[in-house]
Amino acid sequence: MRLLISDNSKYDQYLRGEAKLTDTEEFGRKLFMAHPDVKVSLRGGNCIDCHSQFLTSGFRDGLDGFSNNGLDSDEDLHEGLMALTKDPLDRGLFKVPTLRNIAVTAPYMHDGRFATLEEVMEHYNSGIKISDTLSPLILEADNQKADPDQATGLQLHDDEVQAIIAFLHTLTDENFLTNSKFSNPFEASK
Amino acid sequence: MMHQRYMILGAALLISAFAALKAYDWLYPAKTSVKLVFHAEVDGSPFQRNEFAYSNPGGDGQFRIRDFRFYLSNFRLEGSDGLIQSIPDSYHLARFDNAENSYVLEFDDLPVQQLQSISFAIGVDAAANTSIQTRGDLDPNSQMAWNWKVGYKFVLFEGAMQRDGKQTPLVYHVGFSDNMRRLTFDMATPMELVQGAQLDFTVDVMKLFDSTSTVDMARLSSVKFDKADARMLAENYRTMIALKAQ
Repeated sequence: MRLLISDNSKYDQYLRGEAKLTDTEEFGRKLFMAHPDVKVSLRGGNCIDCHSQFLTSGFRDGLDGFSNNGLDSDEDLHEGLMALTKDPLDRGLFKVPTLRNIAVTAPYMHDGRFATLEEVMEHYNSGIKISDTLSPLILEADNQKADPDQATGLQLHDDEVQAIIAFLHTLTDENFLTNSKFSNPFEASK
Repeated sequence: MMHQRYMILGAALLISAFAALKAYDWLYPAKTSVKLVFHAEVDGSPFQRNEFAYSNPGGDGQFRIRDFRFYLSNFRLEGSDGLIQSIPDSYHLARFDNAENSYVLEFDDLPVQQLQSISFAIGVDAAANTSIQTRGDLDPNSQMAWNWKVGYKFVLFEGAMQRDGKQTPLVYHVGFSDNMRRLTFDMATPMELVQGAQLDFTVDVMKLFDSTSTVDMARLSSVKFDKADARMLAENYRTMIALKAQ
């Protein structure tokens, strides 16, 4: 049963050809969907490597929807998926959540360590901690790329970070959030 | 006398019934099936994930495989009688992260009785690659999708390189419709597709980096959108699948 479906965000309207994104949102959408490749001068936020392009959730094939996104180094890496599979390859892997309505569902990360989307972006941009099971895609995704040993994140410019956040706001579905049919059935409706 | 006549009649009936059955077989041959098993290996060594067990073919260092998967598509089976069966919507994501390190495919309901050759592609044809329609294992929301403008990754290899005590990431994502490679395997002798018929293939991961071109994986540690690099790896993966002797 999937009765609560958010499908009327600005991004959905854009996908259906009903709405246009602003220049900033469109810039952010392109960065969201791109894995950076310095060799061909492609800049990217690398989001799509874990957040699927239309659903923005983790991948659904097997355990593909779990990832180590560089929150902690090996010494204090949480157990994550390994608690279930007992496979050391799965240490520190957590479920990639959907980004729909992400702007209104703080705090962020599996332990809620970040309060704002700005903090989340700062993590991906310059706060990546290296560990053995860290996703190679996160480690390798660097828009400046000189020395991979120095990699700490995407190294995007401020306007690029702001554009991605603007795009994330297009995933907010007011219709879904305020629909009285989806409200608490045990409270009297207003 | 009567007795003999009945015997002849009975024999005639039996023969015609038998002939009818033979004709039925000939007109409506039984449907067949075949199982294809792809066994991953690395230059003759067992395929394993997470061990720095393999040598960089073009330079220093040892590498490990975190993830390796690729699309197989457009299967075509040819019978010894010239009958050709194309498998519709055959887009299959081969992955090897299981206990046997193998990928198994089964095709049922085939008209082909004796298999003469089998042909398939590594990658996805342009029509399907540029569409967001889900079919077979093609899913625009999957890990293999780049985005709907670019299409799918055909072959994905992710891992790490260890060199001088340091680890660096390896990311090879090869796509673009031009890089689909069709392979054809002819049977030494036609193969009867009877119950339990199975074809075994080896998939040598090392060929991706060491075949037509030899790659120094420390220097070229990632391939994604550079067309020349992608084409070079496509020429290499063209050779990575081999049919095992039956």
